[in-house]
Amino acid sequence: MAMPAPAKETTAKPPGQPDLSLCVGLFLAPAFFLVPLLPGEYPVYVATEILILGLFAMSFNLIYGYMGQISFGHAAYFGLGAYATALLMQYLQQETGAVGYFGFFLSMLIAVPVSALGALIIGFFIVRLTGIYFAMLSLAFGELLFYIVFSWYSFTKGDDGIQGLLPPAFFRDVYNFYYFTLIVVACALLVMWRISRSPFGYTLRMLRENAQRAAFVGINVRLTMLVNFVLAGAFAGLAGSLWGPFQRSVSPALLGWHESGLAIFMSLIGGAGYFIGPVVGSIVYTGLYAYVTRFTDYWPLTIGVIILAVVLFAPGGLLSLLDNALRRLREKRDGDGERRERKP
Amino acid sequence: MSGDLLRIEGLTKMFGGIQAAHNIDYTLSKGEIAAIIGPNGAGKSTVFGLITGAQKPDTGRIWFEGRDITGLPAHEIVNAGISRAFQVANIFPKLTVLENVRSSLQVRRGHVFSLFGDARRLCAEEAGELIDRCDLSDKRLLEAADLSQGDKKRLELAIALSSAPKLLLLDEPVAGMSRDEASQTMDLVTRLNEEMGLTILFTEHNMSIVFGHAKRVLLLHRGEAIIDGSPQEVRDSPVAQEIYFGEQVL
Amino acid sequence: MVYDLTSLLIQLLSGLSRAMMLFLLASGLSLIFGVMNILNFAHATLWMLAGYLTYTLFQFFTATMGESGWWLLPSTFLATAALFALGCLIEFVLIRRMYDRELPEQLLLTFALILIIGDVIKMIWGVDNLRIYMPIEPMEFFDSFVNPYSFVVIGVGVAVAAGLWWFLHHTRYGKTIRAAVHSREMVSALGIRIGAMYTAVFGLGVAVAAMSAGVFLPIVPIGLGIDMDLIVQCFAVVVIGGFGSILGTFVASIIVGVVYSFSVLIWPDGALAIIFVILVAVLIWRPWGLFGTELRS
Ligand SMILES: Nc1ncnc2c1ncn2[C@@H]1O[C@H](COP(=O)(O)OP(=O)(O)OP(=O)(O)O)[C@@H](O)[C@H]1O
Ligand SMILES: [Mg+2]
Repeated sequence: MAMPAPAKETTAKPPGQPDLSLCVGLFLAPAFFLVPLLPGEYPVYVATEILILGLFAMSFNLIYGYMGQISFGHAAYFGLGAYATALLMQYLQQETGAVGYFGFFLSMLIAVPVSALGALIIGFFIVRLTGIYFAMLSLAFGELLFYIVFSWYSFTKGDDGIQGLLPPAFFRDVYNFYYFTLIVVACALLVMWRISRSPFGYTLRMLRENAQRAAFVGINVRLTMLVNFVLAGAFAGLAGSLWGPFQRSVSPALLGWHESGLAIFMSLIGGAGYFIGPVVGSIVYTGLYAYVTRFTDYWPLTIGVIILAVVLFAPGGLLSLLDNALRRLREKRDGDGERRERKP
Repeated sequence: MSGDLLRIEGLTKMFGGIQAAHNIDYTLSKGEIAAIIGPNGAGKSTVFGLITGAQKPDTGRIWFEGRDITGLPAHEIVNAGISRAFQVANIFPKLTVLENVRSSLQVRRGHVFSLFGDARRLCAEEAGELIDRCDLSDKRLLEAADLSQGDKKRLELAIALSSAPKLLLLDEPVAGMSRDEASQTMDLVTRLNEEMGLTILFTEHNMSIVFGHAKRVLLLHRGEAIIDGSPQEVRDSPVAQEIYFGEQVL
Repeated sequence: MVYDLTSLLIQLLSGLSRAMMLFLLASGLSLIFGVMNILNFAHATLWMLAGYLTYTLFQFFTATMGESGWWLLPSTFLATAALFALGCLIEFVLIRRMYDRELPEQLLLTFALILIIGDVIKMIWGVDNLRIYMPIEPMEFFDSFVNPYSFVVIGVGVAVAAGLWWFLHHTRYGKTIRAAVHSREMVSALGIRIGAMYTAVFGLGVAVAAMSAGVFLPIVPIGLGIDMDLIVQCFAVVVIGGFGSILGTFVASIIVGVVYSFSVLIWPDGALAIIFVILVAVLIWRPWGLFGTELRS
């Protein structure tokens, strides 16, 4: 039996053309900043969700787009973070009546090491595998965690989830919480941007391109994969920590494979080969969801057709459509048929 | 232990029923340039694989600079100072030539886990020099996948060199190159040996290249070391003639 | 709760019928993955669609030609044929374009199918659970009552397993398919029209699942969303058994089905967690599954 064909051309293209990601990012930053000018609270609410899920998808893409492996249970770390925050907040709420600012930040911060630790323990086993086995083992661990949270009623309230999370007064305001989320996500993206262009980022690309050669250049392949897995878990946990205070509740579904699938959709719809791709994917997916569901009950049909169209007609994601269009424009302007060299 | 750089004792490897390497003893001293020859399937690549940790030997030991490296993982062997270019060019296809070399250099310099350095600056200059030396200057911004076979082989040589090896193993370094390219590349290999004192072991099917560049030749046949001597000795050996030159025109 | 022999036997029986359902679903999945390297996430959704179709056909037959449980046979047959055709169509129009794509893209495409088919079902059949009531007397079995239909289910499962095995090992087509599991290149080198074969295998895999939907309709009510739970369990079965191995899938189905129905006795909420513990253990110990062959990747 043969492994899936190593068709790396399209999706897992090196997050090259960093200039495109940068341009899109520079365009999006002020756009996000100005969202609250739109009428009503709903756009702000949607934008908050876009940011949180975008960060989650970005963390997935650290493993997929850069390292070339599929973390198909990635929601586990998102959910772990969300539960860590929710459980601590709930505890503080019960102890003191309301969560203070210190307690609030502490609850959120705790999510990062908890998710990272989860990713470390689980990743230890997962990075021994590659390809479909990597994907399947991460799916299995994810589902395992999901069912543990689902059935451990005394600790997690099982299917009921944890309700009634109330952040401190300042963050109860939709606008304030939105700006808070924007700052957190922007900082996280800046850190990831640095990582993507660091020697470590290039080490990941080497693993993606040719793990065997990477080992023969002197890279400890498993250790590097594990470090990245933990990093991605930590970012997913950070995204998760925002979820509870945002939704005022968490539920086991946050750890399930559907949620993991979201990260994959968003990355691929936006363009897994582009740094900012997952955020673009989140804008499209979450944005559509928020507005389409208002007009029709047939949201799954709508998004299904859109996904189908993207997979068939925009294989590298929406950003690659844009990328190709820009390239064609540039070639027309420069008037030379010569092959464009990629920027290093 | 003597001053041997590499010492192999009783190296044996079976693949199913096939004896890919059988009880091979071999030593290389610092500064040598030697070749392994043998017909297809003789076990040349297998010996390279065993030395570099791609496969684990069934029995036998390998010492490098007096240290037993048998069965160490590949990346530790590279870090001990043995680097390798494969028979089929093994590169990072979707990275540019520059990125291929620069990133390999960064690994050697211990930047693997550097999360916030600027990859485009670190080692960029040395990468440029290495690329120049391997005659790839005008292709540094091309994706490696788009290179010609010969250029890919040279790129892999540059990658192997960026690990700053003490011992360089080249598996058919000029396969797929034109005659001119091949002689240029072999001249480079010779210069690496002569000017920088790099110890080099290579395999090659083209006998004029072998005898023109190696100071010592090991003949393998069906996994066994048949004869190990100067090019002249191997050329004149009746056993070698029978095994090898019987099949292939000199 | 007392675990006497009888209740254990009954549990075993329910485990086995569950195992058969998993097997009929997972064997197609495993075959499709083994031959074409495609993970068809929509597999259980197509199964579900077959269930709805069988239901409607059954209602139609009973309404027009009189009540009888036997109408389930032609209904199942027709639904299976329809799903075979649909499977071939899906392969021909969509899946075909995905062979040289990466796993996540395949996942995305087949997931889009889940969403679309699910909504189409919702439009046509609504959101209520459907099931077929069969006038079957419970049968006495070791001092306790069981639904004799369980034996039908288990029999069908074993028969399909045997039939598939025979097909794969003793017919020319089957042997070609098995060869394709091992080496695609070889089969195309033999001059076999690989495209037509892929279409047929996909249709066959879907048809096996479709048939099981009909068989299970009298004991498993069908409703939106069960495809989502089932598909992940099917993956568990396929991975535990080893991709592309029918025998492995069969054994893994029995392990998963039986373990599940006994775990339900002990820890009702965590029964599925135990399945995933097994899956994790197998993947760590033998990533290629109990009956798969080790791959160098
Ligand atoms: N991974 C493997 N699995 C099974 N057999 C192998 C493997 N690697 C090599 N062999 C077998 O071992 C023998 C030696 O192979 P090897 O590649 O070392 O020969 P070689 O001398 O490099 O040949 P060539 O000149 O063709 O490169 C051959 O018969 C080959 O088929
Ligand atoms: Mg060889």
